[in-house]
Amino acid sequence: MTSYNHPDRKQIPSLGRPISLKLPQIESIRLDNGLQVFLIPDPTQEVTRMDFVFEAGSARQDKKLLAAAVNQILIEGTPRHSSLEIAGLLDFHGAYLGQFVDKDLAGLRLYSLTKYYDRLLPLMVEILTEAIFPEEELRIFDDRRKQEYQVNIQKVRYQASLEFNKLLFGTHSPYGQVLELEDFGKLKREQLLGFYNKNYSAEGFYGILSGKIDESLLDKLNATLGSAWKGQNQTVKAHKVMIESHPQQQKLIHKTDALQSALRLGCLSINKQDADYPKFSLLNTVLGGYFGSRLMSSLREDKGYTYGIHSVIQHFRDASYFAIATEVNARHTSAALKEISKQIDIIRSEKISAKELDTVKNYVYGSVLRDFDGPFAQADRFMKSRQLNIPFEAYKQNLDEMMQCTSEDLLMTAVKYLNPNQMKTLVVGNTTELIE
Amino acid sequence: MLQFDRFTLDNGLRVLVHHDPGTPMVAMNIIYEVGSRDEEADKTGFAHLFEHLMFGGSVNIPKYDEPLQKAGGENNAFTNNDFTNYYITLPKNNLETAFWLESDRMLSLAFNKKSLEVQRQVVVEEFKQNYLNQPYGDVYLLLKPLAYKKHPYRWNTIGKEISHIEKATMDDVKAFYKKYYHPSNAILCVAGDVDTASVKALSEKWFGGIPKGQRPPKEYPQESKQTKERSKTVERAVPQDAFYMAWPMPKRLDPDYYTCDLVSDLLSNGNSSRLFQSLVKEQELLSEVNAYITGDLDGGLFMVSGKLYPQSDFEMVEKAVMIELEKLAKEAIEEEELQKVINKAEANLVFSEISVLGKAMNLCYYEMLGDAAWFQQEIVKYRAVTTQKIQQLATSLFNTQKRNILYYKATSRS
Repeated sequence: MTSYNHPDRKQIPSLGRPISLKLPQIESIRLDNGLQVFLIPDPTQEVTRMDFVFEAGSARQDKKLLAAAVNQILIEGTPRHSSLEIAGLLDFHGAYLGQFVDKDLAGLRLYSLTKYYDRLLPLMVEILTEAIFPEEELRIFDDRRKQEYQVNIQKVRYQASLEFNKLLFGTHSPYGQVLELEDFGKLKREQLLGFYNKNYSAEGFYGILSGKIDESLLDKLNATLGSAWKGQNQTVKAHKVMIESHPQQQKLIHKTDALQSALRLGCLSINKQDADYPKFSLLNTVLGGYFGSRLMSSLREDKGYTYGIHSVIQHFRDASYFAIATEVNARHTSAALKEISKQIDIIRSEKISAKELDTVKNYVYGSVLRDFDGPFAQADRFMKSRQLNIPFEAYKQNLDEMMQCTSEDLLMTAVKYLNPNQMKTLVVGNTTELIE
Repeated sequence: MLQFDRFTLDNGLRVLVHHDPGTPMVAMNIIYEVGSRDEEADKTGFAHLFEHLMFGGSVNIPKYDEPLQKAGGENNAFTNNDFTNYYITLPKNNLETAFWLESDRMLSLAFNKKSLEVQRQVVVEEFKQNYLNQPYGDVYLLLKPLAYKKHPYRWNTIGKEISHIEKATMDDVKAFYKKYYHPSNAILCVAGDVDTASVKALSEKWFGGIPKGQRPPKEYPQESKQTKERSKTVERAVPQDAFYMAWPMPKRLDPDYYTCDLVSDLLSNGNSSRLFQSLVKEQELLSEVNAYITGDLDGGLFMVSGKLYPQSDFEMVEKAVMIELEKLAKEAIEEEELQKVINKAEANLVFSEISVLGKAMNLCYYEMLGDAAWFQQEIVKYRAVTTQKIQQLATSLFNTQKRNILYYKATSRS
């Protein structure tokens, strides 16, 4: 007989049957001018969010910093509102305006209490269609970014992320371009206007409206955004990003007084459309994708070399890569590199146990449920699926396939995609024990 | 409205339940009322180190993370000056696993030697990564002992120095656990698609049998009134000069706390804020500026900090900052500007309770302050701030005799 207050503490309580992942059917509307807006409604929220998404990422720029400058200075003035007036209106309504630029996409993301949303929409459309990019604001942007860059570049982690990008994609690829000190002070207002007119346009634009959405908000959206960029072409022209395979396999950057070394190991990898992707994704989780991963267990929990180590598969529209990233105690730089290689060797030569496989699958299941929990998380995922040209439903299919993976599948995947000879290695920090 | 139910177990554990049917995930949050202010002056950094040890296995469960991952869960924790917060999110059908894990580590830890050794090293790496190997990373290590002379807030949560962490012994660990990690020093909240009756049954099943402990006293040496400005200058290999001003501010439960929070928003929350417009945009003296409050329970700091452009110097920047602060004391602000910061505070409160985890954390935090229902009252307290109160507060707060200032100079590199 089990006593009330003496439950069996040795065993994990029996687990429930997995809750199935429910993806919403994402509907879209066309505004009067033909622009497409996707809707992810949730009437229980008091908050509304809209993503205004453009094909205006850094891969489209012909000068470094241009895409970021346009995205930032977008909100610094229109013919009818000064920079301060725009900021004042957003602040007065307690709104949060996110500005985002990645390699493929850029845009604005407005969060606000639903009760104020309709007041802010006209301002958003004005910003998107009538920004003037004052000379003065460009100078301030450039000065501030330069200072920020000089602080960041001192961090081994930041320097490593830039250098690794170059090593992976090659400096001639739009994906491989990274900031350098001499890039500051060069942009001209005309270049900003040129980029803005070309890329912040109907071509490739879409919106995602999430959270609380009522009819009147949709009417307001149509009355404002519905008449923007009239007559412009809305189909995206093909734009393929060139990737140059960089011959260099290893790069060591010595920092004399660094207490920690930043390590990056990785290679270009398969994309989300690839039939092997679900297996590779699960394999990545085993190796470095969660707290209980092989790398975390060994380098942090067993050896204490680091505060954290992770591996990721990162996707852009025209390239994907796999990478292991960590900052380790500088004294243990070479030991840490050896341990990482060892973990890769093990995963390539030994089948993972049924127990570990089961744990990882359950973990992944929970984390996917978490990733799609609520309208704003779904909006993030939906945007990524559009960027990568995969149907939103593919996430569910992906998950189902991961759940079917066997230990044999993972071993084969490891042999195929985690080839040490193809991995590039970057060290920023203590390189004294390492040979070029 | 953030509705909740509340009950207390016989052993003193306070439990809160929030019902949210709209999500497959459930959040469990636990606050232990212990932070770095409870440490001894020669054993600083201990509350945070201890947080790491809480993941090193409990009496019946050798590994905390493994079964949680098996249940599709994720967890993390943080420690600050006043409390330590642990949280889990997992699919709702596995909620009992969270009860099992959290109750076992409240019952007793495994006190595993190897775990202590490794976590000491991990925390030392964390110390280096975030405080030493990072430009401006040591600012608070320098500033807090300047602003506090008696109160344990004079050291940082990460610790005063690495050696304190390196010296921690198993006996220290056991004593700390016994004193602070028991039901009557903890608050638990479950938020998600759950009902109170089953949370109550699970709470009694898993936590009910844990012996009651003694609630540790919450008394700390208080600061004497500051009557003279304190300053410190350091040189570091950073690219920009920076300054950090700190004034002692009221305790968390003082009504003036809300006025302070709004004043900091007036100064630097958003691009229309006063310091940003004046120092970054108009005068172009600083590349960034911040005003914020630390909000500690026993009296935090009102901070104003900024990074200087190469052509600016400390003297002119300090003058320009003080002009803006004194303006708040001299002239009442417009109603519209007050409305702006109140609206911002309201939006922030709503944004903070979007997820079940956000709700569970808020409920625990306000219960620790005195009553979980106070979360609902927060906006009323912000709305009670008037332009006169702002003016009064600015007058008494921004007194240069009560100012602490850190000048963080960039070493000139040739």
